[in-house]
Amino acid sequence: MSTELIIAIVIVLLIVFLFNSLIARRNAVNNAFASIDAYLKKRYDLIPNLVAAVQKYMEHERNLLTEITELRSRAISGNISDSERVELDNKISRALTAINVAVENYPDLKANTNFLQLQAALNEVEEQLSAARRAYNAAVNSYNNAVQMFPTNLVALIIGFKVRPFFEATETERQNVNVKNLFNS
Amino acid sequence: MKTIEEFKNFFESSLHFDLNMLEKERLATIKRYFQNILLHIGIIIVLLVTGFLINKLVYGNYFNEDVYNIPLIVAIVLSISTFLMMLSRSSKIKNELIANFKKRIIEKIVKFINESLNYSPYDFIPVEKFMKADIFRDKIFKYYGDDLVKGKVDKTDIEFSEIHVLSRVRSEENRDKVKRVFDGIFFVADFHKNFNGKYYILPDFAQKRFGGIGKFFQKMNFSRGKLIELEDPEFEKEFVVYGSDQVEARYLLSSNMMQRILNLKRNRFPFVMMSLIDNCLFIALPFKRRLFEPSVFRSNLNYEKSEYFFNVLNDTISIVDELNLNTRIWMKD
Repeated sequence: MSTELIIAIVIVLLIVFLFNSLIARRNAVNNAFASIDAYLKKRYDLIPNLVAAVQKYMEHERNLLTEITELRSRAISGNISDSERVELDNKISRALTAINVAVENYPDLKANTNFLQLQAALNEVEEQLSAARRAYNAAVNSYNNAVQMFPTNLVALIIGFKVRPFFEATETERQNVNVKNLFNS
Repeated sequence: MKTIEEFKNFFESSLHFDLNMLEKERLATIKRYFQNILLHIGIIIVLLVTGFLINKLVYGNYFNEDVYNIPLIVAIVLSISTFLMMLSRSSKIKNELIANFKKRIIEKIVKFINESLNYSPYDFIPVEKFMKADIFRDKIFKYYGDDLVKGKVDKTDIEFSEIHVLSRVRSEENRDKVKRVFDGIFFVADFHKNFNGKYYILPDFAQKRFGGIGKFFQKMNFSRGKLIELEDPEFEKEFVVYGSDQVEARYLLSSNMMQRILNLKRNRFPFVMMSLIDNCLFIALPFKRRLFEPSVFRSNLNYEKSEYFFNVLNDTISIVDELNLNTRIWMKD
C-alpha cells in the first residue's frame, strides 16, 4: 500500500470523526432543547389544576388567575414564534411566583393537601425546568466550542453549523432571585 | 446539630461521671487481664516441668531421642491449649470493657446529638447496600464493621456504620494479595427528590493532576454512564460526576446542592465519595484509623478523646442538614 493512500485514508477517517463529533454535539443540543419543551408542557398541564385549586380562596387575585390561564392557552396554541414563546414562559414563571407569594395570605389554602401536592409538583417541575436549561446551556457550550475551535470549525464551516445562543435568565428572573431563594433546594 | 459548647456542658454534667466509673472498671480489667496471663503462664510452666519430670521417671532422661517422649508431648499439647485459652480469655476480658464503653459512652453521645437515633455497637450496614451504592467495584473478599447508627433525622431516614472492605488481588508474582478497598464510615440516607438514574460524585484525581488530558480520559470512561460537566468551576475542580441523564443529574445537583457538597468536602470530609441510586444517597467517608474504640491500656478519661468521638458522629449526622435533605418541597414526602 502506498504512503499516499495511507495518508488519504487517515485524512478521511479524521474528517469522518470530526463530522460525527459535531453531529453528536448538535444532537445533544436538540435533545436538551426538547427536554426543556417536555418540562414546559408538564408545567402547562399543571396550571389548570392549580387555578382550580386556588380560585375558591384567592378572591383578590382573580386578575392574576385569569392572566395565567390566558398565558397558558396562548402558549399551547402553537401559532407563536420562538421569541414570543420564551416571553410567554417568562410571564408564566412570574405569575406562578406571584401566586406562590400570594398563598402566604391564605392560611386555609396552605393547609389544603390538594394544593400542597400541586405546589410540590410545581416546585418539582420548576427545578426540573431549571435543570433542563442548565443541561441545554452545557450542551450549547460544548457545541459552540466545537464550532469555533480548530479543527472542527473547518468541518462546521463546510456543513454550515453556526453558533447557538445560550439560554439566559431574563432581567426580571434575576431580580426575582430573593423570592426564588425561598424554594431553594 | 449540636455545638462544641453544648457538648462541653454535656461532658461536664453527664459524660464525665460515666467515664470516671469506666476508668475504675478499666483499671480492674487491666488487673484481671494480667492476672489471667500470669495464671495461664504459671499453668504452662507447671505442665512443662511435670512433662519433663515424668519423662525422666519413665525413660530415665528428660528428653530421650530414641523414643516418642509421650509425657512431654502430652505436656506440650496441654500447654498449647492453655496458651490458646489464655488468648481467648484475655480478648474476652478486653471486649467486655469495650462493649461497656460503647454502651455507656458512644450510645450516650449518639442520643445526645439526636434522641431519635439508635445505636447498635455490633451491627453494621449490610453488604448488599454497600454493593448497591456501586462506589467501589472491587470483588469483595471480606466485609465487616460495627457501630451502626440508625433512625430518622426529622424527615430523613439515615443509617451509617464503620465498614471495612477487603478484596483479593493477584500480584505480579502470581500470588494472592489482600487489598484494602475501604475503611471508614458508610452513610445511607433517603434522598429528598425522586429520580430514576444512577449518579456518581467522585473525587476528581485525573483532571486535577493531568488537566485537559485527564478530562479527555474521563469522557472516554463509560463504565458509570456519561460524564456530566457541571457549571460550577469550583465543584468541577474537586469532583467528577458520572450518570445516566444530563438533565436529571442537574435536577439532583442544583447549584445550591453543589455548593453544599463542596462545603462538606472542604470543611469536614476531604475524601468524600457519593452515589445517588434508587432514591437513596450513599456516602463513603474514608478514615484511616478505627473509630469509636476506647483504649484498654490507656486512660479514656480525657475530654479530647470524647470530643473526637462527638465530632465524628456529629459531622456525620449533620450531613442531613448540611445537604438540606429535610427540605421536602417536592413530590417526595
